[in-house]
Amino acid sequence: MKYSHDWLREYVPIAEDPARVGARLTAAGLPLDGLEQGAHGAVYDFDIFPNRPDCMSHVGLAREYAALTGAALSVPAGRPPAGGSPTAGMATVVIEAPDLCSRYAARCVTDARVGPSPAWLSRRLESIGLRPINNLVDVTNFVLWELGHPLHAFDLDRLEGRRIVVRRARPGELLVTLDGLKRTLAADMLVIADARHPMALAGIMGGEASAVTDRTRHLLIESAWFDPISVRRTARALGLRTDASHRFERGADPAIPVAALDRAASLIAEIAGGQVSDPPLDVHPRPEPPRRVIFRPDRALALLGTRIEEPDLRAALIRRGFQIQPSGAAWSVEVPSFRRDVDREVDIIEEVARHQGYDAIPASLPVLAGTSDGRDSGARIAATTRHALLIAGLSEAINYAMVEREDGVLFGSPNPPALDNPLQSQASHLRGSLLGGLLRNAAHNLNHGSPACHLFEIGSVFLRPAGGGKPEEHAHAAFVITGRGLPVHWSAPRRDVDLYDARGIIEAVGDLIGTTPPGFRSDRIPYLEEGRALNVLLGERMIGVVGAISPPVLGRYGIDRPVYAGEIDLGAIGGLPAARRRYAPLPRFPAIRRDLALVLRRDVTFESVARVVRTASRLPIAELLVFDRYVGAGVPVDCVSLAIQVVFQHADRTLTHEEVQEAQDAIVEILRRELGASLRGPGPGPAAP
Amino acid sequence: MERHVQEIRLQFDRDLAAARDPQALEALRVRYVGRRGGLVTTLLKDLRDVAPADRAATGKAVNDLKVHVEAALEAATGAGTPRPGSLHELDPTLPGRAQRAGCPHPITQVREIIEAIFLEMGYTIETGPEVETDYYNFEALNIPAHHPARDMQDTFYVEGGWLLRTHTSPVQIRTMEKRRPPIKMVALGKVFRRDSDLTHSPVFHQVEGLVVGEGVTFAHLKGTLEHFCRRVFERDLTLRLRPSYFPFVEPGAEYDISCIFCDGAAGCRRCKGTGFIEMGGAGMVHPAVFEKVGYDPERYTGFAFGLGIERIAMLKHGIDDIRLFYENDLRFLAQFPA
Repeated sequence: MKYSHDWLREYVPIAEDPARVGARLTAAGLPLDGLEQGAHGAVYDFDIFPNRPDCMSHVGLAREYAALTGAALSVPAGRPPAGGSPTAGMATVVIEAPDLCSRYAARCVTDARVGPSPAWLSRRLESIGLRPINNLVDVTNFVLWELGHPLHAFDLDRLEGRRIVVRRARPGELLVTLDGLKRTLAADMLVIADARHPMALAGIMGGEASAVTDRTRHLLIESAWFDPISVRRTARALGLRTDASHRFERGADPAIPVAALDRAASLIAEIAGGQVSDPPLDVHPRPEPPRRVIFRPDRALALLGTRIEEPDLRAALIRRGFQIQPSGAAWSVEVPSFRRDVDREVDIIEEVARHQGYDAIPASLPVLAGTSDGRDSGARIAATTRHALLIAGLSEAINYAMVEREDGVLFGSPNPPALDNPLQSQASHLRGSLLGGLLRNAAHNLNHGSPACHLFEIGSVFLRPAGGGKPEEHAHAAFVITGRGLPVHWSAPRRDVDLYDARGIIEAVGDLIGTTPPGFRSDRIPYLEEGRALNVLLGERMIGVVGAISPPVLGRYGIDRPVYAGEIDLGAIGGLPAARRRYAPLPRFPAIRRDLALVLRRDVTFESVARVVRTASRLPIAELLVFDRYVGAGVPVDCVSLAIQVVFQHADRTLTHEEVQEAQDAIVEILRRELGASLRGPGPGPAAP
Repeated sequence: MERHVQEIRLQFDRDLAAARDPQALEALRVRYVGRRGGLVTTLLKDLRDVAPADRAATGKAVNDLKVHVEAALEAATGAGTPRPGSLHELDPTLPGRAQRAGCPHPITQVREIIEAIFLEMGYTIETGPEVETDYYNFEALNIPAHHPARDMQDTFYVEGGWLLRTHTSPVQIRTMEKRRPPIKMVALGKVFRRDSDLTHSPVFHQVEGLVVGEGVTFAHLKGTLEHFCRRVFERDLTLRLRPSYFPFVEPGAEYDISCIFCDGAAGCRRCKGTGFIEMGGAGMVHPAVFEKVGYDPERYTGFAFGLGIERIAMLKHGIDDIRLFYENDLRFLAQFPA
């Protein structure tokens, strides 16, 4: 909010330069946002927090400055000329909604001459960026920025029956407001009506029909107190925000209406002539009782960690309009009516802390019993997963949780939770998968010339629960990989990523998480390519998917090359018991490795080979691994050559070559019988070095 | 004789390890499997003298040795690949070979730094949902419906009457509801505001801290923030608190640090010539908040503070556009290996 340095000096002596004034008020909780040299002197822009409507005027800010410096504050008093006729004889004020309007004061001015404002008044308004309109309107504005209280002037002749009725609107009533818009009113909106029609939206904006114009001769000036919540709701419902509503919704001073009215009436009489009615009408159905708060200086010490001496406590409060009745350890403090933000002891403590300045409070560290159980298992699993993905060479992405509806639908969330008020249509729903964002990232990177993209994200996804209610949140980890495979090195052949890279990433995560190793099962998954789509399982529990993104989905994201991806639900992992890592005694007897080059039909999987080998073996198998897979010359069409290494090891004795050979022969025979496998090449032999 | 086989094998392995160039390998070949006088060749000839009962076993051992020597020599000379160790065959200026780790997001890195600082100080790390209720995001934090303070944060509403949390402060309430003091916690996570420009992102990350116990004071808040800021920026600096307004704290404050670019000398662009950089909001927990969670505000006091993770990352790395964090451009991410 803008304040003129020159204008402030009408109410408080200021000896310092504007920059110092700004710094002083900033340190007291009124942060300076800008300081400019205007045509009429320095102009401050202070950021006034919503709890300090009392500072939203020159007098209000001057009061704070006076309290901080100890200078004297002089508040202008308006004294309308004596001899006017009683307001009650010229107009009637009826408050039908005392719950929303606790006070309504009014005076009339007859035979005023509308015209331009005098130079001093125009200059004041211009100094804070306001445009002068005419002397009557300018005076109400001036009082608003001087005392902080919004006023409204009606053309008295346009008020039917010269009546003011403060009431709730009747549903469907119409009012053309000063901005020229025709507004349809609802039953909970407070209006100022004449004998028949609404004439103004109480505390927000006047109506066109009763507005002051060049032809206005007789005025009724309103100075009232309206309920903050009522003003705020109506202003929001109508999408209107005015200087008046801004103040009323933060809480105007219920004690000021008559003083503000008198100030305005006397200025109008001075500037525009005319007779001011006297005494004013002051309908006050709900006077506010004085507010008292108990304040214990010891409590200030306990909360702040430093003692503020009594003279400082008193100065902080009294200079701001508080009245104190000290009684030993507990003071009874009466809160001034304009301080809407103070209603309990801690607010008083803030007042005194603010007055002293926070710099006066020392810094120390609290001593509290340690409570730490550190972080929860969800956070640990996320951290472990991140670690595994980083080691696998993927970099981390972070995307918005808001996506297009279609992004949700594509990845298995047919009905994603929607935002009521999205910023843009491409971010209108909550994601049910991390893959949409990652595919956009992949497209971005490929479009910027990156030869590969290996990215992952860990974050929340949101699903609409079956029975309705709050969207469910699940922690997911997902990745996309495309382009050149890792590791990239000049000595390694160039190759693009494939399904094994994707599956390996899930396996690597499984290694670190330390539950049972993940299993994989082919499935149809709508956004993955058929035959390259796997479910990821932990035990029998489905925890995610891995595979090749289907070409139509790639097309949607503008990607023209294969992308492999995976996504797992970290919450589902968290629910499983973590495998305890227990020490197993190191083998005391040597292992014997045997290589087998098998020729198999292509539809025979490694998994089935491994199962047969393990069940068929007469000797314990410590490890079973694949070291080559080959299709081509030397292998029959429709067949594949799979080279496996079987590691035999016994816990209690050294195996002999003869018994290993027998076990191996038996395995080969059962593989032949059950899977149609044959041995390739010269026959079984010892393992390659 | 089998013992002799074993000795020759060991000797060969040692010789092979010492061979530095093709000439040396050729010499080895001649010495061990040379047609005339090669050590292994000789052993094969000597088999004739072995007793018939042992001949099969010894024969196999010698044959195995021959296979071993030939294979090893072939591997060492084969395919033109210089053997490791023969340095003059290599170009040591070529890049080495290793699977390089990916880059964690800079937001995650700062987040982990902050978590570590607070874990060391005995804080717990708490979490809460991103889709929140009005109660936890506003009401319980002393921001009732129709309170003007709601204008301070533009809220995304989710159909059905939910909202995306506008700050991590709801985690304060959730933690106090499930535990009794003393509490020392931080919560780090995503928050959402309906706002987007160079310095505002509709999604960003916040840290929320809360300490509640008997005898916790504003002085402790200052000390804690000072310690934290020094640790996170790894330098000495001055902390400044200014009165401010957040409905869930009283007294409320904003805290600044002396400019880390000009050391508070008040002369640089980053601090707009003020010598200070804004960090976040803080204050003593408002008694109305304690009352919401059933804590006795006479017995317990506490402080809370918040800050933005992006802001710290931007300050630490000199990043000037917050949107870079969410483009996930590899050229950006690769600048922050960790």
